[in-house]
Amino acid sequence: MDVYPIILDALHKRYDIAVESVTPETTLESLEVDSLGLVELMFEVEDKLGVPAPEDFPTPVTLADLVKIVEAMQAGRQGQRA
Amino acid sequence: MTRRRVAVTGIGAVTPHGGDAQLFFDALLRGESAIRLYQGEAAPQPLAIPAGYCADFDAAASLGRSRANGMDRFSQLGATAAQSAWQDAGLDRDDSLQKHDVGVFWGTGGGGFGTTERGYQDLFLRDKTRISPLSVMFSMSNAAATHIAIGLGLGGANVTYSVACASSAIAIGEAFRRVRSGEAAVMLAGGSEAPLAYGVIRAWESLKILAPGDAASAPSACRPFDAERRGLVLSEGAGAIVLEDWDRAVARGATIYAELAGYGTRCDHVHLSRPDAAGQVRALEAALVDAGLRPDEIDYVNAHGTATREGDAAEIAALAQVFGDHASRLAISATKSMHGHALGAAGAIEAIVTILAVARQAIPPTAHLAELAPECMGVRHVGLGERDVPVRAALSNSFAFGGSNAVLACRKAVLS
Repeated sequence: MDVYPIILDALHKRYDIAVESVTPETTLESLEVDSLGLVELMFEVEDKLGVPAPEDFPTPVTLADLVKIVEAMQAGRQGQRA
Repeated sequence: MTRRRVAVTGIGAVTPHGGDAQLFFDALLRGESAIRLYQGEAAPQPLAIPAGYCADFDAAASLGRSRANGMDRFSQLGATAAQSAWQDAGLDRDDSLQKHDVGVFWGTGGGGFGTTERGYQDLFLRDKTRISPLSVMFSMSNAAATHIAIGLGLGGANVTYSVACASSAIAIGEAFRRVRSGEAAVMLAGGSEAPLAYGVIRAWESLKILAPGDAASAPSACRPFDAERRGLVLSEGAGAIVLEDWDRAVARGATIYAELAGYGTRCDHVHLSRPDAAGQVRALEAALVDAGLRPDEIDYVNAHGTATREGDAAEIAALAQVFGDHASRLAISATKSMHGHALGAAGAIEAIVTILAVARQAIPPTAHLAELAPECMGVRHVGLGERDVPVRAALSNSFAFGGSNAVLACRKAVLS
């Protein structure tokens, strides 16, 4: 599943952010997503993709960073299946 | 200690009637019920009870989607009512106000019921091992008060009272004491409740005190003081009032709805759920003494009047005892017949009704009162709304499970 649209959808749902106004380079800080907001965002993405978020991950700065973390989550699950 | 007079300078309500306190009062005066058949959202088994649901409430419209998404419904209702009351008071135009010293005293019976229920659904029905990381922040009982403080920038004492159905009456009473003592110049007080979660409804059903009804009969399902009364109707909502030092309010030319004059709270200390008239008498007398009002100066009492068999009878017995000869002339109504029982928010919503009765010199009725029950006789039951009647002073009763009784007394605003 394509990760970026899922993140955009979660941002729109929770923060009412217009998806047209953001790019992969947009920072989470500029969207006012704080650390708790990130945990909540990851929870929603987790729910949507059906894969667990890692206990620990580097704090993403941009949306592109977040996409990489989520892609790693997906890859991790695929790895387990293989 | 010098006692300050306390003015009510702002009101805000979200009820099943809508989000405008004055229009809400207008509807009550016309005897219009907002209670409808409620079937719940995705109830796992068929559910159909008369309830007061705020169907038109749009939290994203009043608070913005981002803020609204960060709250349980009881906080959304509360923050919206508080915002209305604050705007109504016009205090943001007052540069002399130290907002860091304005406190928020709030009441709720159960806090974030809906959030708790969603968490359990995820755990027990969907076999999830993790639930929303905001579950704690959404469901904690002081979340509404905190959201109100953040939204309005109020940095004084922030305290949440949980005293079942007297929660918000007590929050208002305690805030009143802060202003009267001079500890605070302005306080925002009230309460909110969102109890229409499936498990909460089933818990109340088990008590066998919910009024039954179908789509046609739901609006008139709650019939306080009637011989055929069948019980209470659960509802959700919020009420908020701004309390302000009287001299301060006068000096800035604020609209003063009424003077909050007294507050009494006493515990039955008898039984967890069965009401006791003796405890109610003590609370009523305490409020009158606190306000410096004689019984014959009270022209209206907004009754707790939930329409249970025992509760209504006990309340009328208490009023008859306290008011003696004046009782037969004392106008009484139970507006829960139209807006239902909002539990922890009921005291605040009904305080607003009482304040507006004094401000507008009008008395809303007990709706659907067809045949007065013999055990509820002895006072002047108001069956049709009355306009242009003298209301010098009025009381609002809130009697809770746990036996905690709270009575607020307000007086017509007279500048002196």
